Amino acid sequence: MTTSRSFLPWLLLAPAGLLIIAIIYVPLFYSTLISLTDAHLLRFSSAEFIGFDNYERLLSRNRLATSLWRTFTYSAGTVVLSFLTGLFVALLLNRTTRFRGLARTLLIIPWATPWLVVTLIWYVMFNPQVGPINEVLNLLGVLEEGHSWLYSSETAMLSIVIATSWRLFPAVTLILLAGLQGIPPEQYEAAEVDGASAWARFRYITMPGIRAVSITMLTLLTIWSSKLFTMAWTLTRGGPGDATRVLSVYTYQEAFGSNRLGRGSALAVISLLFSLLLVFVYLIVLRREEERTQG
Amino acid sequence: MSAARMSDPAVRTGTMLHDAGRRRQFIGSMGFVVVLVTTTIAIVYPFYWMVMASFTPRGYSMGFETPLILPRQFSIESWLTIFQDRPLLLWLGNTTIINVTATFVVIPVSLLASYSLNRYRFRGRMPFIVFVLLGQLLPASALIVPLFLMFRDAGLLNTTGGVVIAYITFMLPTAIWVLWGYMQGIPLYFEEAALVDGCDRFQAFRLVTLPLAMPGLAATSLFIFLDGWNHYLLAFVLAGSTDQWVISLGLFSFIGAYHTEIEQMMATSVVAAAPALAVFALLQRHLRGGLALGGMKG
Repeated sequence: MTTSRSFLPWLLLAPAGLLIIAIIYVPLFYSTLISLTDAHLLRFSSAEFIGFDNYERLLSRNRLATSLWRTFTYSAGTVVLSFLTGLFVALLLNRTTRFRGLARTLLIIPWATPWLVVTLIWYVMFNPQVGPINEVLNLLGVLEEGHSWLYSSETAMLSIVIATSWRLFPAVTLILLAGLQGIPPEQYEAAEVDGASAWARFRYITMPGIRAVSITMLTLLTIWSSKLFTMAWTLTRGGPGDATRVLSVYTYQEAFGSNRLGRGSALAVISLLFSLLLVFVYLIVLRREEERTQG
Repeated sequence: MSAARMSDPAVRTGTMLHDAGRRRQFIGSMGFVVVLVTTTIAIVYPFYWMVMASFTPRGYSMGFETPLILPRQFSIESWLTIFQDRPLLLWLGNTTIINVTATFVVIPVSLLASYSLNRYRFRGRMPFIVFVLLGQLLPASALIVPLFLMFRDAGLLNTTGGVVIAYITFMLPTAIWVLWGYMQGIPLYFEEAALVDGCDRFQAFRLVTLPLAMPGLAATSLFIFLDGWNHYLLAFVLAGSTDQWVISLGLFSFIGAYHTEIEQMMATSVVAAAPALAVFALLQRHLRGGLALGGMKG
């Protein structure tokens, strides 16, 4: 490692840094400015400065609170479902070596499928007329008539959570599996000799063994799922009503659906703060973990 | 429960006590297999259904004839239609051009950046890392309004170049992150040895580090290239006119049309998913660490 006072390291960083500034940070700043105006897509040049009016309006209505709640539900649902499924499958695969190679290959399928293809697949899966899900539930006698999963406000959120988790859980499995295999088998053998129950072995060997990687996984899942747009937009367009109107969809709808760029930008700033909050929590957790392992 | 019945005779004949243990083990492993099979079906079936539905005759998967396992009739009608009547090749062409160009810019730029972050310790290094990471964590939805306006003023809206610039920037943080991980795996002393042997820094980089980083670069390029398939919102807002469409926009156009052509939609989905699947299958062994994490974001 070289400690350098020269400008060389900065020269090497310059192209990347400039691009990121130009396309991510400048727009960010610009967005904040627009959020203080009444900018409208069709008459943008006559936009006027209106202070925090957009924010006041947004905060005084239930819509923003609802949207934040939807984002939270979507994100929490996705994190829980994809993590638990991922962990479950990883534990299964850790028990046997026989299917592991095959399972790894199969797990690649959802993972490598482009997001938009995932949405289309599940769009059809949940379809009331065509969807195999209704068909199977029908055959099992659980459901008499076709249920339109995506268009009823009770099941729309659940549906997009399932679809999102289908895409996300394989990565959780593969990463946790690597973590599980890093746990020395002697620990299990010793525990077995001591007569530890399966639960005790899970609680005192497995869980600490994958603790660090799980925490990283959970936080990243939270951050990513909270900013996903494709699922909620393609499958349900935020609907029915506002049942799946997560923050990213709400932002898009305000800015380009209603052409209110100012208010859309205010929402963008709010969702940004929301993301920053998550990142902040992540950094705190990470630091605590480091202190724990070092201390 | 068939597991219990199958081992019943052994119990009835009352052979041995240890049979109870063996029976429990048997039920256990049967349960294991059942769970494994169920999980496999949950993973594979939606994907399988997509492929199968693309081979059913038009309108056949609608209504009461929904095939669950095999199509009642086989047809390649939808496949012919998507290539003949839909601008599928144009969408694929646009996607490829945009992603290839973006990848070719992203890789050298991120290589320089990750090299610098890896080999030098300097003031502002940590802030830069945070700056890059934050860039990756920002939701695209928070940036589309200003990007739309900036691109409109610069005349970049609805141009391939504009989409490429946006893609490059959104790919960069991921690429830097993934490559940085690879660079950390390359021992510094190779390069130091080259310096001792009289190479200058650039030669040491070109002759020693670069060849060692090649597999990582290749994997990252492919990964970044495929990640481009997922940048839906950017393309949606920045490339509105149909002849600029990338495949994700083409796919989306199947939804919400007056009459959804399920079979064509599924056939197009297969086409869109195929390159990614092929590459990921080939890259399987490398899908660890940063690359694995990067693959999750949408």
